[in-house]
Amino acid sequence: MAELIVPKSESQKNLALRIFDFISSMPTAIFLLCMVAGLSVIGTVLEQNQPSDFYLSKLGPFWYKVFAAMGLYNMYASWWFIGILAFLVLSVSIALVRFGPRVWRQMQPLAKVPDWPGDAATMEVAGEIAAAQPDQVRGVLHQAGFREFVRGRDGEGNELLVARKGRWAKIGFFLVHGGVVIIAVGGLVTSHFGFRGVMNIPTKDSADIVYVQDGSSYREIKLPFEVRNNQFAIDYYHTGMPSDYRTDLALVGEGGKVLAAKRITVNDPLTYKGITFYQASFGDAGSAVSFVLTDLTKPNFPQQLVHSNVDKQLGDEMGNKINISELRQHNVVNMSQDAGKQMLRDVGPSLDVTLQSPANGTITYRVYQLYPNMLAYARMGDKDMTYDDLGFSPGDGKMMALLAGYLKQLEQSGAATPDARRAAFAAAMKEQGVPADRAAELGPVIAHAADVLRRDALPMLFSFSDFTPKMYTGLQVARDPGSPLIWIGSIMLILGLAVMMYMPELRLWVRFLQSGGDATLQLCGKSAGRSEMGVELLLERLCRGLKTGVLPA
Amino acid sequence: MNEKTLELKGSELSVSPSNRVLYWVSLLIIMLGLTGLTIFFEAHSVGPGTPFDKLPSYKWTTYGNLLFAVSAVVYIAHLWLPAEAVGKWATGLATGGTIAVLVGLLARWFEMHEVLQDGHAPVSNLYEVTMLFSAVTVLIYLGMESAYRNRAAGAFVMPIVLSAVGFELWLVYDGQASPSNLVPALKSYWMYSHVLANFIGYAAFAVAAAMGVMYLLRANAEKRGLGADAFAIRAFPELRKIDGLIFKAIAIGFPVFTLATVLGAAWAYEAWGGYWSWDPKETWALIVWLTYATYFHLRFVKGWVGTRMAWWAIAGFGVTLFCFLGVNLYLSGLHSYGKLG
Repeated sequence: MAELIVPKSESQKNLALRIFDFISSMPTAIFLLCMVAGLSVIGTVLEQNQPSDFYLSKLGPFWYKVFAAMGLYNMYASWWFIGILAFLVLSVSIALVRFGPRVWRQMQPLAKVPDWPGDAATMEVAGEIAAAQPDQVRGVLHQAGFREFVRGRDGEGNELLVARKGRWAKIGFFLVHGGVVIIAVGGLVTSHFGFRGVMNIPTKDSADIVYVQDGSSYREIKLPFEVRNNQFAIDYYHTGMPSDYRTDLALVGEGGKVLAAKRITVNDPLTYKGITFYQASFGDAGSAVSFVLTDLTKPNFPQQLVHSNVDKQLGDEMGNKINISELRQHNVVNMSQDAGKQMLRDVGPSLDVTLQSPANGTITYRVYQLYPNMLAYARMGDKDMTYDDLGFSPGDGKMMALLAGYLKQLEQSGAATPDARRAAFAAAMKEQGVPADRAAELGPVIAHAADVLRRDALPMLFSFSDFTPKMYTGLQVARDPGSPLIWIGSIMLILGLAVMMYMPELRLWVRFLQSGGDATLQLCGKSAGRSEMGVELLLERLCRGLKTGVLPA
Repeated sequence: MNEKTLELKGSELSVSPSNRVLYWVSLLIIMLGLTGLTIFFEAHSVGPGTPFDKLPSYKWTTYGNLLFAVSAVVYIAHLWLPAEAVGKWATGLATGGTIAVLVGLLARWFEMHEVLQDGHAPVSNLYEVTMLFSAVTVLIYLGMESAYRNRAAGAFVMPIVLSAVGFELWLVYDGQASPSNLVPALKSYWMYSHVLANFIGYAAFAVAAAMGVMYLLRANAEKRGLGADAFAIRAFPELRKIDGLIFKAIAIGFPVFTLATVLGAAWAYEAWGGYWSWDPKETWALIVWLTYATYFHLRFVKGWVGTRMAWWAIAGFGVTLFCFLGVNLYLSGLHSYGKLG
């Protein structure tokens, strides 16, 4: 490779060498660094890997096509971005080969005395000097960490001592640039021989297909064994937020043989034959729920016990659609009246039910298992839920029947005064055979419930009876054969930078001048990796050391 | 070039490195002692749900921020009042402020066990990391001040620190200062090292940018013929030396910032199985890295120095700030530990 660094005249160089020179030249490198930095911005501003509708609505049909043609929806995987990265890595690789020998030579022991630099920090010490002879100077410099010395004379014949420390700092050049190339190779290995996808497995169930995202679609990878979710559990903070979740995972091979098993948690995966299973998420896999539906639009408020599953949709002949959208096993709320204080309590499980009806639009109900009297609902466009208290559970068939009877009487009699309402209530109780003393007890309760129904004007009510949770564990599955290279490259990168930045090479010149009987020593220090102020402070310390013969602590 | 003859003056003998180590170690001990006392004496007043402004840590933070503010004024005054005593006061106030803010952060760490019934390092929301940023920035500056024995840059670093303090106050006003539970993915030992290393990087780049402003001011004054005798400029080091200091600040930060990015990748690998997913925060960290990598190539190989590189340091910090705050402000992704507006 030596011929690469011996500059021949341009005409003598063949084309390949000239291309090599161009790719590894500093302007090219700086251009590529800036290009990668600048182009990377695009993908942070334009959200990546979204469905095409997302881009279409954002950009309009014309720009949608333009952006699609440029591969901007998955730009970090686009040919041009990968191409620029590859070009940068190629540039670094050629630079390693091209400039490596030169850097290597700079790390060799000093063969001859380098010239006194004209542009570096200098300082001189004169008068009585304890360490005036080259050997004494050498001793003081040795105390300051200099290990390499070479003696000679400058152009005017003055004696010169040159010392160097941090001779090996330029190894950083190889470590940093080599590290970058190795990281890139690791990435290449992973992208060719590895994959990364997701698996969602319900409790007590197993699966062997990994879904790998490929732009906005997915491709399937079949594993050579079954992945079984033996148990999944969630821990909660006292605020109700999940604090950790875990899966008892088993990999089952042919004939039911367990190949590997582990309880995985977030940040603690299971690895088997190069494939790693990470605990990434969880969700509802169709928990069984049951609730009582009361139809308030029909006479006598008919009720129905419904058994269904989360994420299922029910419909009726009237065009009503009921979605069971979410089961929450814990609901932690702040019960404190004082705004500054916290009194957190778990009010137990809740179910979100969304009703879509042609007559009433969309209404989302939240029904609490332990607080059945509470009505919580939000109509389409409401920011917050409305809460109301019916006074009894809408699942209580007897009470709902009494309420229906009372409302029917009210409507029939058109009662407007308190007395007329009392009469309507008495008539309704009599109709349903409720004894007078019981009716007196129920009076205020039914009257309140009637007010609530009129106020909220809901077409249906729900009462949450029971549930059997069924969760799925969300796994990230990855095979990453390139990762050892990535970590090796990263360590090289960090070590190389640390050596170059924290222990840079420093050269020191000491010139011995004789004027009359007095000796004068001129010091000059130069380092690409140090600030001039730092070099000056070191020179000052060295001068004090030379003056007294002992380096100050 | 500027050749100097050493004149030995006994009284001016520099602080020896071993004394300097002793100095920093004693500061560390004072800080840990104050933290211990805070936790010991005020534990009874902290319980589940205690609001953050009633916590002892909040007092420490407030005192620390006040000290930063006074220190900034004294550093700026020191440009015109060259007396050593003024400079020592500025340094002392800044040191005191850092200790107070760090005691606040450490105490908050312990308080979180009580308040949230789950302890984690106070680096989980924007308010906490901004405190960390202010303290680390002052620490790196003080380290450089003591190594290079020059206080002029303090007048430029402290205003950046005060901006961070102002941002903290806004977060307090906006109700984003309360400690909060961590989502499971963040509960990892990687978090401590990743966040700390990141903020050492950010802080070093902030110090470099402050010095860049100082460079440009002096360069501009010299261009207008005001020269080294102009009023405040007199206190600045010569241009070549400021240039060297800017380089040094970036050189301190860059390897640590690289380490932070690799630690983040290692953590993501353990949590999700992918070390790099082009998340906006990751991508911007790469952009910051490339910005400073270019800085070194321009300096080492092309030999760029001076005004251009001072601008580069300032622009680099702009990119860093976007990585730190802008990503949370404008973009979405994995690092959604805080929001603005």
